[in-house]
Amino acid sequence: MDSIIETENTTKKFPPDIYALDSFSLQVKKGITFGLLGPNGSGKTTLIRILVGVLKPDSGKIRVISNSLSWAARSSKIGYMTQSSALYQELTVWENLDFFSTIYGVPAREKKKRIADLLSLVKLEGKEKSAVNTLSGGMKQRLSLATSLVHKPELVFLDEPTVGVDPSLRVEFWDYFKSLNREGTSIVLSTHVMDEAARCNELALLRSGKLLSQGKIEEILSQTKTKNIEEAFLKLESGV
Amino acid sequence: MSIQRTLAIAKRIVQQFVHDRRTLGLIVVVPLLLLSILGALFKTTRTYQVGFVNQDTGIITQLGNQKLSQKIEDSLKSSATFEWQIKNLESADKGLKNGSLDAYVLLDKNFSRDLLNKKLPTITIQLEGSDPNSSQQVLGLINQNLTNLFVSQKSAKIKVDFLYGGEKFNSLDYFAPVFIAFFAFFFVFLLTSVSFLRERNQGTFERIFASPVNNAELVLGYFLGFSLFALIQSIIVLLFTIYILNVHFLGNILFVFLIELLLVVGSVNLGIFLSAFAKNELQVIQFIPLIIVPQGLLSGLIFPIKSMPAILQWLSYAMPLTYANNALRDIMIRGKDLASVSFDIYILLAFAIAMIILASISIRKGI
Repeated sequence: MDSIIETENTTKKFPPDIYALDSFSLQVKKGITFGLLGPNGSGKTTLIRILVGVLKPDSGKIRVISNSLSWAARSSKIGYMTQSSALYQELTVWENLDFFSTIYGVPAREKKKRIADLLSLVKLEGKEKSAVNTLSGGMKQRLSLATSLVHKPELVFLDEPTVGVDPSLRVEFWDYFKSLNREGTSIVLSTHVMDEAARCNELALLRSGKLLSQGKIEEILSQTKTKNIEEAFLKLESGV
Repeated sequence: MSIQRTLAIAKRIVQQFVHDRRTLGLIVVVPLLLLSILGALFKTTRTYQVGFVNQDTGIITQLGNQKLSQKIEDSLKSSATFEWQIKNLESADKGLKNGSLDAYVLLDKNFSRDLLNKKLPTITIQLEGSDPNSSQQVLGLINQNLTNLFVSQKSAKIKVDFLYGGEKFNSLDYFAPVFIAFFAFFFVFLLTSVSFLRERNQGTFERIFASPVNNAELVLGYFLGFSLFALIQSIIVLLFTIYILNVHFLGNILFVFLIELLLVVGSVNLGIFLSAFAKNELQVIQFIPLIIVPQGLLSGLIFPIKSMPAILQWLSYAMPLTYANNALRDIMIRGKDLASVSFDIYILLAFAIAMIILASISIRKGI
């Protein structure tokens, strides 16, 4: 299967001497849900920020989708949901979705249906005219997810997408992620929750900017001779 | 460069303001309130209390004892500039001390004799003196009154003509054009820097910078969005000053907007540039005494540049508002066309371009 992301010896250092990513090499296959698992400060968000293009690495090679695409062409194929719900607080739910769909070039004739479908997915129907600053934290998180998917991206980066989302909706989110995979959309998501990681097709385990292991869950378990991801992580971590 | 994306950013800014009605109201109401206060201040002329102490003993002629000072006394009493109070020396001194008088004019006992003997008579002007500004005004006005009086005695004729303005022009006519520019500059700078900072802090910039939007589209979108409000503000302020405050206006209104537009381009981008150096809204506010207040003091807004010390004059010529003020006064008060203010336009254009470059360089700082 072709890879949609490749990094080779990617390094990012923050002052004074903190390696957020240390010679990090990774491949992500097309059409799967790929999980970045690691504790806070392990480099998950830094890696995502580098891959979406808002942060430049100090060294190393990176390919996201294709290096032959222009910046605008590539970024219009990428969806990005940040850790905090990055939304315009004074605008309404609809205005936020309308804005993001326009800057990502969603055709005007498709916009209305696309937004309505997403509102239904994230259970925000009837909230179209509500200002974002009147929504609960969970609602904002759901809207943030919707804004990152409004242009039907080929590759989606979701930084801790299910934080603040109730369990039943979380199940629906995961069903939707799987349906996106079936349509060919690749998903890279970060999490520090082990049971969420178990839902991913493949995982990368991170610790202090280093890649501990990468592969399917069963591969990681077999490699570490452990029964679950938590044990595998602890075993790999102790070997660093 | 996508026009669609640029307009989407401009539309989003407009929507944010439409939802934030308090800010929208303040943009319009605050300048009108301040201009109304300025209008009241500039149009109200203070009547100074001036005492008149006449110690002239007169001179004996064939016609009897003649007091030539009497004519001066009668004439000054009818002057509208002051409220004259006839006093003796002791009560005049007392008046100065207790604040009931701002000054007094003293004619000594030999006034008539000196005048008839073709000697220069002595007129003493005693000022209260604690407020140099008032002292100068009183002194100037008394001098003017006395000069007019002596000139009229000799039947001379003074003809006063104005190249610009006229007798009906007052201080507000002179200050209104520059305050219009100042408000546009100040509000647009403040709103842009706060909005940009908010975008940085709430993470929306992170989303924008991961999207197909480029720096040029972002800067232009912001400019269009804020310019709309700056334009609305300017129209309302201009109409208010012309029709409510009755400020005299000679020039072409489109020229006024062109100058403002150039200033606003610079102001939007200055706000974008400086917002990169602030971590929170309190720090943005600190830029006001650093960037806005010196421009208010040194751009000829209130104090004439030519009367400033050399070093401050140099500083004032380094400030964009100085050129906007020059151009707007030339257009509004002197009725000049764009060609006559081309130097000011070039400087404002250069400022705008420099700010666009700085804003583009700093726009991704801290993301």
